[in-house]
Amino acid sequence: MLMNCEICKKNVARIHVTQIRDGNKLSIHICPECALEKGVAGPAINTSFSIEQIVNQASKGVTLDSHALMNPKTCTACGLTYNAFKESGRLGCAMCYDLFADELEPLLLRIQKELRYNGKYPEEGNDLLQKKREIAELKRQLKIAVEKEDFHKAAELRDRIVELGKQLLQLEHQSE
Amino acid sequence: MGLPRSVCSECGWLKIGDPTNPLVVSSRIRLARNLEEIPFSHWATSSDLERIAESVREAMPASPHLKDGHLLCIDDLDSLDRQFLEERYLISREFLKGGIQRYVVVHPEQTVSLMINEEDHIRLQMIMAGMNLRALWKTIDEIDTELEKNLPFSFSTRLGYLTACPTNVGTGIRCSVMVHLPALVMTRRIEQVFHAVTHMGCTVRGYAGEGSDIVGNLFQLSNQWTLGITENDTLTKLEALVDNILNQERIAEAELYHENKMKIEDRVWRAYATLSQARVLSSGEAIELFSIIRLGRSLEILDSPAVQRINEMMIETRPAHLQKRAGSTLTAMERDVCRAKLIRDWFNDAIRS
Repeated sequence: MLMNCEICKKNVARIHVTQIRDGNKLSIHICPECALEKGVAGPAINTSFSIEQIVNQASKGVTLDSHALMNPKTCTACGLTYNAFKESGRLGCAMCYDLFADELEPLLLRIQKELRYNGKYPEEGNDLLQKKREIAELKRQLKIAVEKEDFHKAAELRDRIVELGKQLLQLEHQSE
Repeated sequence: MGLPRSVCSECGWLKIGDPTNPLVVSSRIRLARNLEEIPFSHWATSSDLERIAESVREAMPASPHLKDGHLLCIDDLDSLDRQFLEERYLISREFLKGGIQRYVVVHPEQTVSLMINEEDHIRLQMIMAGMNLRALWKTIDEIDTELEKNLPFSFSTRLGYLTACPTNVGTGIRCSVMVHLPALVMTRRIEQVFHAVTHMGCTVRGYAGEGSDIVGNLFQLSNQWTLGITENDTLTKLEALVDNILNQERIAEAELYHENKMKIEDRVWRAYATLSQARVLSSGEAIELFSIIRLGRSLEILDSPAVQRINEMMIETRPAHLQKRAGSTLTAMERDVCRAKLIRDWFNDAIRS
């Protein structure tokens, strides 16, 4: 099954751009038309990346992410497909919970009491851990923003992550 | 590398808690935890798995409950040693297969164990004899908090602790109580019990856990829900369920005995005679006979062996335990002979004392 372009939602997405930033994998699936029109806009695409080159490759039938092309519902963080989850019953990573949220919701409602966490919270005393957790949470949100093409929000989140990253480095220096 | 002596000696957790309860063999709690930003174990690369193992190893000394634990690499253990740990409920069936970067930490008392790189990065477990969920939760919660100081667990405010399988997401807690319900089985009321259990957000499994057959009238009752419910309410709910079922069992036992006094006594004494005299005993036959003996203790038809001794015999006569005791691998027939000899000796000791 082919997936639709994430920008125009009409054409088949033939271009799959993946970028590693801060150790996280960001992916966007778009059609060649939109790729040309958008140029190199948006945080998902590295400004130093030659988008024309990708368009050329795509027109020759070369895709960068054929796995994602074959399996439309794929976790952009770990690459696990929703079909693979259905077979094994196991998710690939924490991000799968967000990216497969629509599919998981009815399943969770069937096997769980409520869709609301009600248990213990991790200890709040450790600044370092708190910062790390906050960054992880923002990275999760960033991936969703990119998935939804909310590039404005993604940029905001990215700045916040960079800021917290600096604070984390300071804290780490202090604790050494 | 083999098992350290303290792990090989007697099964420690059988003595701790409430070992004289004839209806409840053991209580167990496990917590599932994963480290942030690393894929779940089955989807992780070998260097990810190595990082997980390294992080947990580094965090262990800071936990007073884990610092004295023996760290065992599953791939370094032979299949007999793995089976031995599984027979004591210290590792899962999944761990019998081995696998890269899979470790288990076993506390010398064997009440606490921690599996690294199971379905989740961390599976922390506590087990004790009898009905003891509160005591287990108090300690396991402490250990979890100790670990959390040094390990960034994958956690979301919406879904709680994130786990590989959505059946564990949230609190990641699984509380199980192993109960003995012979009279409910004999009076065919057990079906109703099963029905009630599933309506209360709990599940019932056989003696050896998930997917196992029902043997020896032993059942594991455990919580199903991990989302929308606190740990405390999970315990309260399971305790209430176990209480209710045990009351039904006591009533059924009393009725059964009242209506078939001689038949029940005959069955108990025949089981006693077989266990104390048999020359060949399969594990299946032994466990069914132990069940009748336990019923005899519950109805006070027998005044020995002690319930704790029955629990010990059930574990000590399992295949890997027999072979570790013999110091060599044994054929099925040799095991059945060894099992019968061991049980005979125990019964004769009980009679003499």
